[in-house]
Amino acid sequence: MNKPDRHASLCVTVRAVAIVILLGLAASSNADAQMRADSAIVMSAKSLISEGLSDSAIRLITVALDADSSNIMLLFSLADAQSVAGKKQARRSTLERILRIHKRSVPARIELVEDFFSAKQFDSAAYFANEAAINSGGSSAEAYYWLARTHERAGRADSAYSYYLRAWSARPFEELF
Amino acid sequence: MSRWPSAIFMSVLLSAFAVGLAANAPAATRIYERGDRLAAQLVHATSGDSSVISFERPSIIVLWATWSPASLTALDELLDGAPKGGIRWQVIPINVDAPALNAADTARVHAAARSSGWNGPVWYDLGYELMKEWGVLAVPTVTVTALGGTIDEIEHDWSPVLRDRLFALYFGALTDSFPGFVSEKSTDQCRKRAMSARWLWRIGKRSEAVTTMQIVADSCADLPSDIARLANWKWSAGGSMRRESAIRPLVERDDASAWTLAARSGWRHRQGDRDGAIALATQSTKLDSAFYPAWIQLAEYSEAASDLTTTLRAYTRAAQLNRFDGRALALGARLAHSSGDLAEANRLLRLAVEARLKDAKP
Repeated sequence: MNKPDRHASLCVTVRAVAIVILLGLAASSNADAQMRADSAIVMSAKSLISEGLSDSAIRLITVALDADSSNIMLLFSLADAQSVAGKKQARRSTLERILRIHKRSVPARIELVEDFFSAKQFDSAAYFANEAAINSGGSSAEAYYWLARTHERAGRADSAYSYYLRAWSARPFEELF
Repeated sequence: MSRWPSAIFMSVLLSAFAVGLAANAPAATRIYERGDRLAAQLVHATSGDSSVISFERPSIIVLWATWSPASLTALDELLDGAPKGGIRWQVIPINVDAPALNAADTARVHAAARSSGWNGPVWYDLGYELMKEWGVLAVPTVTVTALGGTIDEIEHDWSPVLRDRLFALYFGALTDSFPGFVSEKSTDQCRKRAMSARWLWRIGKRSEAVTTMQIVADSCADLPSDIARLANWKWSAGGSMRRESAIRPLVERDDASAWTLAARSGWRHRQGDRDGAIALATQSTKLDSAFYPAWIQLAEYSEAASDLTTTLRAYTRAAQLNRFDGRALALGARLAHSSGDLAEANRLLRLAVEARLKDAKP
């Protein structure tokens, strides 16, 4: 099967799976079933993204979010798809939407940090990294890592080193023996 | 095999290639070697796109050509072996069939890449720019780089022996021809897995070693006692109490292998006997100078004892044995910091943290 045929076939399959899932979701109030349905949607979206069909993935997740607009798993999946599709502003809105629902979300802040850092908006990156560190209660290695990166970038080598050390020690390791 | 043309034809092609490249090479080409650092590199795809190779992951760059059977074998085997590695390797095949590819070349190169299992963009070295810059005159050339692009290995050949060495070092995947198995005189699956786990542990890939050894523990009850003991180290599942009870039989064994000595060293260290721990780790490194865990133990314990000379010596050796392990990188960073080189300290610590964060990702 050549690539366009595969894509078409995959799209049909994914759509069919999504419809079945959504019908099942509507018919069931069982939390476990809902979680499985969400996972299936996320997996389908990942398949679409890996096939280069990130716009289809965005549509699939958006339909699912219509039924459950505050679903964090779906929102993160949407942000991933938007990232691959190059929809930077939409992705930022999605991450901010997550923060409105989960005000203390560290992963959403970390993703914002990564976006701001790659866009060379280092002050914003440092702001969200600091917020992530505070909201994690000092346990997020990623938050300290990004604080270190922003400080290193700003030429503050001493404080960068301190933050790298905190990032390193935030993830304890076991003895070799 | 149909893809292997005659030796004479190959020799002619190889000679023509070498002569052509030499003619194109600038006068003062630098030849890259182990320890050199590769900069991000622009490569061209047959589709007309271009990409920048960055070294944000440990990478293996394979220069290959359809007219080089050895390079096709290298490509096949690396693409097969890399996904089995304990860390996420980035394999970058770059075709060097010709400095510019016409339609027929492109079709041939595509077919060869796909038959080797490569599904990504087919990159080629337009104008041999990359080969000139890297000072490469041989096909295949296999370059292994650490995070950040530092060259860890550069090989201008491909053979079963080289394959097994690279696989053992970087992928933790062993094959029958690896010397360790020959000495064991067994192709038994359990023993193979146990040996593989021991090797993974030796080079510091602990979680992969534990996973592999756990499979052995679950399915191979009749292995010799020392391997069975290793199999029972259920590190990943157990807390400190469980670890101590699991390791006690090894610590109490009446032998002096590098493994036992290192285990005793760790035991002593946890009991607060730093001098005893250092002495045992030293003995372990003397018994087996390629046993990474003992070197890193010696470096860390000596650092805590403010013995900078031993720390430096042990760290240097540990870093030679495994450049990817966060512990060695972090130790190097602390040493750089204490000598006042803050930029190098930050660089090493950043790599250490990145290695740890990558390990933690599913």
